[in-house]
Amino acid sequence: MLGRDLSSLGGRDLRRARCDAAVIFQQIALVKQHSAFENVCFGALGRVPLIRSLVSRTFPSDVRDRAAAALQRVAMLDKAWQRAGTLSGGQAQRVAIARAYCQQAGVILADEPVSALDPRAAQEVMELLADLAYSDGLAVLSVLHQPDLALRHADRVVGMKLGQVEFDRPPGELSPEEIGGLYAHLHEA
Amino acid sequence: MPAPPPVADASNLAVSAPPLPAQPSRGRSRIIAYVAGLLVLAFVVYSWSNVQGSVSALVNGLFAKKGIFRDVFPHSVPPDSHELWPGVQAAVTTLCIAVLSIALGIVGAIAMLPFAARNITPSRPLYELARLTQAILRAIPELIMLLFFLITVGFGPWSATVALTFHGIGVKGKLFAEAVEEMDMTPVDALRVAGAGRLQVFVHAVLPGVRNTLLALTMYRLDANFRSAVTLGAVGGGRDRLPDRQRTERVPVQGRTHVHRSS
Repeated sequence: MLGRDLSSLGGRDLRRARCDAAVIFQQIALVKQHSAFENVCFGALGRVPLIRSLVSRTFPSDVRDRAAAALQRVAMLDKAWQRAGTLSGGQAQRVAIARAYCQQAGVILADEPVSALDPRAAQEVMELLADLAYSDGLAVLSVLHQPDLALRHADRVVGMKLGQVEFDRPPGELSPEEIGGLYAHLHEA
Repeated sequence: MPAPPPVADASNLAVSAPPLPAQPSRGRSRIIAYVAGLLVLAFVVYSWSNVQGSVSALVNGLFAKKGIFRDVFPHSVPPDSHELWPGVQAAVTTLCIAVLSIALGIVGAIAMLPFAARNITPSRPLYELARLTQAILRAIPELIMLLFFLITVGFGPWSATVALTFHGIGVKGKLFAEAVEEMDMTPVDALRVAGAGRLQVFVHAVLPGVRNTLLALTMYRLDANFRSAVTLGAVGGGRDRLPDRQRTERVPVQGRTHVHRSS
């Protein structure tokens, strides 16, 4: 990634490399006992000096400002002090996107970000991710199991089957047959 | 009024039962289970004879002339007013021993936690070392631990507190570590992947994740420590410094409720 072989890194170098890519998880992975705002701040832990990072009140003001801006971006500013464990799935995933945004990485990797969400929340999350890519110029790479979501939001769709790349094209150039072909083998057996 | 909808006839709902595949026989394992059960039962019966169990001895003892019901209770109710205040003081000391040893023990157990939980430890040898230390602290009975500190620190409640602290680090250290090993690791991984350091991850993801479990374990250990403090107070870890002429007649038990007057 970014010209580095991550598997060869360790310790401090690996930590620094991790700061350059934000990850969004299928399981959302917020710290449930903390507020939405603190969770967003945690995205920046990699660049906060250790001594100021142990209590969220002492986080540097630029991190706090960035976190507030991130929450506003995902329309969760009014829920800033709500405990993450009490948010709905869609709200929690939006906070997780704010956390990734607060990390200020150039790359966002999303691992099935909408698998646990209802269609409407999934739509919102995909729109936010697409907006980060198109408005902020971030590289967003997302794994999806719903081809229609990929066709609607992505500017490049990579189809994979049994670990092999089947196609790699803009969504406009894809036919339904090609997409259906990805899943055909699952129903043969 | 429209007629109520017809009630579904239960016999129509019943599906014809498909033939269930034969349940695999557990022949051997079932015999082994019976044998094991019999062995356990036999050992329970043997234990009764080994400890010289006797219902009549128990009943006769309780109701004997010097027993609880015919001698001790009648003499200690109502309590002697001279004994009341020292008794309250001793009970307060017992509580202080329990609370302080818990507080110090928590500090020790949490300090070891980043190493003692397998899923967050920085290295396997450090994990083994932490768990071994805790096992040793647990293996030494509180009474033996107290004897050691009575000799080195001196008689009194401080020795009891130190003994319970060290024993508690062994117990709470293990319980806390197991709580961390059982916890949901996804937030921990999320912070780690965002570039957070070990201490940052520990403070912001691990501790919040197990906070409630640790609190519950601590409350449970508090009553265990209170119980132990009563015992340790009786053998030199109490307020009544031994030897004390005035008090030799008494059993120096923390929070004593009765003084047996042999006359």
